[in-house]
Amino acid sequence: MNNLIKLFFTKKKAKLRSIFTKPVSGIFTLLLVAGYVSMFIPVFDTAGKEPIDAMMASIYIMLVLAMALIVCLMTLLQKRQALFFEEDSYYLFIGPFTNRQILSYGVVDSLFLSFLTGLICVALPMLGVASMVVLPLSYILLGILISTLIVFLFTIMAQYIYLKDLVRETKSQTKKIIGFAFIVVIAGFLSYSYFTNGSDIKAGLMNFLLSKEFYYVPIIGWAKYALEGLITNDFLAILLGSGLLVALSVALSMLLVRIKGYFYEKAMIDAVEYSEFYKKAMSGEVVENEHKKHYEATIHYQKGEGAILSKSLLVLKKSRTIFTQQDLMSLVGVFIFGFFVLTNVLTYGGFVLLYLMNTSGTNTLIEELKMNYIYLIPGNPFKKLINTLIVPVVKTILLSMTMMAASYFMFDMKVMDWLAGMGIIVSFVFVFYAGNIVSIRMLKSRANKMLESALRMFVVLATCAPSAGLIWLIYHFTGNLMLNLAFLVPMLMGFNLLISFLLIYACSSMMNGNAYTAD
Amino acid sequence: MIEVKNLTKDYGNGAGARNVNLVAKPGEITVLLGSNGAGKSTTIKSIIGLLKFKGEIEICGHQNLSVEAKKSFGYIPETPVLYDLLSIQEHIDFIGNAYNVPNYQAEADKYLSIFRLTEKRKSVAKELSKGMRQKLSMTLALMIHPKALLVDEPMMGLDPKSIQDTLDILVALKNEGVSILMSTHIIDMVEEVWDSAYIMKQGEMVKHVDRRDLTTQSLKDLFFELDRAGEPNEQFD
Repeated sequence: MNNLIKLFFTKKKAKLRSIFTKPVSGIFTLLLVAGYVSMFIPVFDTAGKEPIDAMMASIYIMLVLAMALIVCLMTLLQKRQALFFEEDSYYLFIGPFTNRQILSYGVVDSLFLSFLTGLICVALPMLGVASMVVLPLSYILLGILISTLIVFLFTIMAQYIYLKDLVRETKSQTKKIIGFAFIVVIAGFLSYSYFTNGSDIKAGLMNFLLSKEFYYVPIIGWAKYALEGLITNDFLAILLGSGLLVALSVALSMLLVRIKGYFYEKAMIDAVEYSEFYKKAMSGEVVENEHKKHYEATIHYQKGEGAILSKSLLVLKKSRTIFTQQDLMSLVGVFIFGFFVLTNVLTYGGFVLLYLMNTSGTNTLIEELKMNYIYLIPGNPFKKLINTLIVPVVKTILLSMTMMAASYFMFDMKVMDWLAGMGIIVSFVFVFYAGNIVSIRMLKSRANKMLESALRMFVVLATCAPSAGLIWLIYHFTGNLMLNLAFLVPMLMGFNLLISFLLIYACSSMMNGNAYTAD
Repeated sequence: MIEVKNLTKDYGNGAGARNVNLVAKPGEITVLLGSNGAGKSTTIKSIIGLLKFKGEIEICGHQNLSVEAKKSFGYIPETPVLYDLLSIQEHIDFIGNAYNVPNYQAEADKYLSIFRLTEKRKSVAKELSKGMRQKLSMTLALMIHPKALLVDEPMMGLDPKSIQDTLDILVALKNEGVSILMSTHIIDMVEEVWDSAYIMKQGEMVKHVDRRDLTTQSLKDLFFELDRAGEPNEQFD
């Protein structure tokens, strides 16, 4: 087992080393880390802030728990699962290790990953709450401990069910059933609270979450019990809540490592598939479900540059899918966030823009631009680029329109205002794509994915700067954006389309050389 | 010694292995021949424990999934599986410690020198060429002093000099008493070194022959004769 622990640390050290192999990558990474760290400095700056009160403490706790719960539900409901990556599976299954040693290594690995996830779960609530009040260190540390334990418990639970399935050679739906049961139970409680609170969803939700009965909900309830011990200075509650989580973690881990039976064959297949999926996801490629059904379809190919569009349409017809599963999940997330958190259409629109800026077809575009034939096809580079962009852009426009369609009902909007908002959002989709094209033209592919994403985001933001400047100018001279919609909307849309066109045209020469893969 | 008795592996689509029996004796190079899809890799992967099968497999007298068996065999896969971010030396340290090999560094150095990898010791796996990755994979399998060696299409991606070096190593290990089971579909490559050969076709073992018994024709001729034959079981002895 010591050798496996040593392997664990060697791998982590190697990962760090790979980031700092090239000086430029190392410097940018350090700058990026420094940037992230600086975001957290105000958390510890207590000057001029009020001490945390019970209300803010409750909000902090609920946010931490909500983040952890979302991660856990995603763990339970995800289709792809593997005990290890391919390399680990290979050496562990062939090497001189017992099943117990192999599975114990898995538990250690899961604990580490849960800790990292726990940090992420606490980061956002911490930033939000600490910007308003003093957030004591004990809240942060206990938040990290509790969210780590929650994520770890759900991970181990998912692994236990998965491993049992492997040994029994069955594919049970237990994981999904638990995930959906969890959702149904929560929905049931919420419905009850909804009807007993005068049909007020938000009040119903708060009453349920703040009730003492919630403490009896396993894992999440215990976690809340421990965290709320901080508000009441109830050390016993902290100890009991965390103790229950630790005890269950230990019990489940023991159960997991004691599983007997043969599981290498399927675990190895899953590991290879998962590793492939992970590598694709990390390199920005579109990750499709390999078992997804493909339909028979034909297309009449256009000549020249148009053949690129024909090919994209054929793929679309064969998959009969406009939105990926990730898109659909994002849609639901945006709707939920908009409904419960955002209070007006401007903040909702801003949130949609932020989401689109982060995701605007980057994956599809990069995957398409990795194909050598795009560059080899003889033709006008601008036409080639436009034909490459049509399908991803239309998809993103449809996604943004679906997101904005919901705002009509959420915020009880006037039709003209709603159409204006939709028009502005759609025009920004073109700007985001133009920004992505510029970033691909300038940055190509960098080994350090974190750095690549940060730089890409920077370029996309810079591309938006002229439009943002225009909005500011109009605001500066007229004083009110909403009163000048008739002037603002067409002008901004036209400006965005012009900027996009110019940028895409300026970058189109890259279509005659392999811009993405050549360095 | 590697002993396979009545190995059957059914993937559910007809492919796999059916009732395979073979023995790879100590001090011999046993080759497993067959066209693509004949069942060679299925047999090898069942032996090393990566496939669930019906039948019995023993390595050096131990059931193949036991820790004792795993300690005694080395495996060289067709496509090397390496940790991209670990250096050659870190791979060696991991395997040397995991298998508890005394003085593993000296043993690894020997193979690194043969494969001309000594200078690359600090390079991480993802920086290595295809051939170098294969050589590292071989070094890791050989440095544990295996009593049995399983080799699945070993020469893929190697230059001619390295192929000859590998064959020399296999002969040296054979002379030290190691049981070597090598699957390949390039018969010319093993013509000089094989001692015992099993020929597979469509998941079944169709022929077992020892070098001393094959006097009138070459192994290659025998293989093609059997490959052209209609019923697989007709010539099984």
